[in-house]
Parts: sequence; C-alpha cells; structure tokens
Amino acid sequence: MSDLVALENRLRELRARHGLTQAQLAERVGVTRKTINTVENRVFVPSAILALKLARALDVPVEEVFTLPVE
Amino acid sequence: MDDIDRLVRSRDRCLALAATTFLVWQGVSLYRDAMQWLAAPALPEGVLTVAELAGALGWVAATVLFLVYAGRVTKTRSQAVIEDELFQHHKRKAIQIGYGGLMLAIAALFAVAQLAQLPAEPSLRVLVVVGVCTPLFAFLAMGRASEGEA
Repeated sequence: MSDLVALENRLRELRARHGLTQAQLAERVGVTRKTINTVENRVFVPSAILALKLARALDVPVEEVFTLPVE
Repeated sequence: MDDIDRLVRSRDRCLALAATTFLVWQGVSLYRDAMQWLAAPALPEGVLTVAELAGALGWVAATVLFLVYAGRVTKTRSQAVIEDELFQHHKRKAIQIGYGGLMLAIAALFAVAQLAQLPAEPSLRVLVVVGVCTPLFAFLAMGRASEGEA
C-alpha cells in the first residue's frame, strides 16, 4: 500500500492506555484487526465515520486521536 | 488469533489458490498456443496435460473452498466486519490495478499485431488471464503489505 497520507494519530497510545488489544478495539468499532493495525501504522487513513467510532470507543474527542501535522 | 482473523486468512488462502491455479491452467494453454504459433518445440504433451489438469482441478478446489468460506462468513454473521473499509479500499485499488493491467495487455497485443498476425483465441486468453489474475494478486499483495508491526 502506498496511501501514506499526512495524518497523525495517537491511536496506539490511547488504545494502550485503555488496556485494549488491536482485536478488542477492532471488535468495538466493527472492523478487522488489520484495519486497526494499518491505521496505527499510518498506512491507511480511516473515513470520518470510522475516526469518530474510534474516538468514541476510546472515550476521547476525535481531534485527540487524529490531527493534521503542523505545516 | 480470533475468528475474524481466521476467516480473513482463509479468504486470502482461497484467493491465492484460485489466482495461482487459474494462472497455471490457462498459462499451459497459452504456452501450448505460443509454441504452436512460433513453430517452436514444446515440452512433452504429457507434462503439459498434467500441469493443465492440476491447474484446473486446483481452481475447482479453490472455488469449493471459497464456497465453504462464504458459508462460514454467513454462519458467523461477520461479513460486515470482514468487508470493512480497508477491504473496500483494497478491492477498489485491486480493480484499478487490474484495469491498468488489461489496458497494458491490450496495448501490447496491438503492438504485436502490427508486426504479425495474432490468433484470436490465445489473444483473448491473455486478456482473460490478466483480467482475472492481476486484481487477485494485487489484492493479496496489498493485504500482505498492510500487515505491519502489531
């Protein structure tokens, strides 16, 4: 995959803070573990809907999970 | 590894088997046609028949395995999860790559047709092989590439 888009995220850190595995977070938001993995590794940029679901699952505002890099 | 991971791996194995065996099956026919067209000596017919048969039977087996996989997906009601947005993204890109591959194959056949008269059936077979195998292999490659650090 070559969809390395400039969107920073703290998904791995926030997931670890909640003590969740990738599979557990994936189950909460209804995607595969691979999708969580690719988002964490910034290989895949999720849709707005998935971003909001992830933020809700981690109980934080979406901008705390995803941010645009400072130009 | 959870059930979803197992189903995804099962699907990928079916697709890999289907793409490989289809390539072998049709590739042997193409090889035979090419050798005939070029009037070049080919491998012994027995070897080609065995390879062709193995490819065809493998492809049938892959189709059966895919039906079994589809049944398991229905049973576990996991289709929406397995076909999530990463899957949709990979599927779209695989189809785009397959389309690009077909365009390249058509351009190559047109170029060769300027130099020599191409027989119709093998030319169509080339397009079928490219059209079937390119998206499947592209989809599998993207899936593997996206498996990074856990």
